[in-house]
Amino acid sequence: MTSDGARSAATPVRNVRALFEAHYGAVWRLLRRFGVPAAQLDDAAQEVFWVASRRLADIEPQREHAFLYGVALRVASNILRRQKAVPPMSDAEALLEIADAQPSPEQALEQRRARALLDVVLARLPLELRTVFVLFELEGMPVRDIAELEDIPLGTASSRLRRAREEFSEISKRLRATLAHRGEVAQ
Amino acid sequence: MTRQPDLTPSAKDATFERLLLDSARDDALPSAGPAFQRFSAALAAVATAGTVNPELAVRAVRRLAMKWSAIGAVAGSAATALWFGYAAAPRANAPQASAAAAKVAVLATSPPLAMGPSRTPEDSAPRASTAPGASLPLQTRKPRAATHTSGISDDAGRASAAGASAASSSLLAEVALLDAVRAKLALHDGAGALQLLAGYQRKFPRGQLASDAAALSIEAFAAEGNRAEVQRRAASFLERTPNDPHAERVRGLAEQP
Repeated sequence: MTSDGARSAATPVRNVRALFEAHYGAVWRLLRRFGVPAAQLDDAAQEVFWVASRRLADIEPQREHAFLYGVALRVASNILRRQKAVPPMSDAEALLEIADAQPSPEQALEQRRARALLDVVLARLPLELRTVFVLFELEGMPVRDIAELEDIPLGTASSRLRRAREEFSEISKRLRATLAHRGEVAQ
Repeated sequence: MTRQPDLTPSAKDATFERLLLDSARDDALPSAGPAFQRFSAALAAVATAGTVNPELAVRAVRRLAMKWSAIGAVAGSAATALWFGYAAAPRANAPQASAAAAKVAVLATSPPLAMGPSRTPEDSAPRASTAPGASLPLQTRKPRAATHTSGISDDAGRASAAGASAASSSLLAEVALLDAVRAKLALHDGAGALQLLAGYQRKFPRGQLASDAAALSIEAFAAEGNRAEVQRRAASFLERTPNDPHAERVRGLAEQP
């Protein structure tokens, strides 16, 4: 019943299916953490798997995760570079452009707001620092793997992580000061 | 609002920073099923359209995705819902069928994936560790309405999209035919299913859903009680495509007494 032509056309999809099943959620989440806008997340994730489907032969066994993360990193970078620059930290009002559309219990709202604030801070990290920071702090990836993924020396990855942490601390400190000034957190 | 205990400013900064990081702990992991359905149908359509430029292909995938609701309305016959019963007893009813029709579009290109969240080994956050009892010391603000834009470029890849659209029609025809086969099987009408599958083979000799059709034919022979044909076709199927997603089902059919 199955012709050779049809089989060869179907095979990549079958393999991509396994990739989807094992990695789609993590890739989607990584794109979100990199700062890809919500409206573009699904498309960006599809693009990652599209690229993977074209390069199945290049993906080493047991390295699917790293491969997909590498592609996700590039897809996210392309999207983010096309975006307008985020407002500087001095623009206090812009920092608080936080969408909280649905009413919810206070704790959940605080959690959602904290998550939105994290995005605010991450968006103000330069992309190369944000990438390393997200991979290490949120994804739990070892620095060695980050260096490999980004194709940079281990020392460079470590240096970027240190700078990213410093900037993250500085930005979140200023954000807290802004919120304290507005009476939204303790001074 | 949660009040913080008395802390030094630097300790408050550190706590605030940690709480921000902790907030990402429960980031949602969307399920792969709907995403793969969208992908597989778009990929098949693009492949049939002969698009070789990856950039154009990606755009075509995006444009095709924008048409999903319309495609779903066409492809989503009540019989589509019977797909859910492919590996289990049929459980379609009218509301399920209509919901599936609206959502799954060309679902029948593949058996359903597990709909639960994906698992990832990298789920830890070295610095993100919530202190017991800590919570974000923020007052809740009046919610703002979130604005939503599509964010999808719609000004390029028109040629690819036109081809993809035509290809999706072909794919939909295959889907519809195999839906009808599944409907027959759900009624234990093996002979009717085989008749439809013969039509599928004539109409789509190089069909995109050929392996689905092959698996269904084995199921049809099983429904007919033709064990010899089930064994023969199952052995051939498993030899050709041992890792096909249908393989387990086919194995099960072959092993039935």
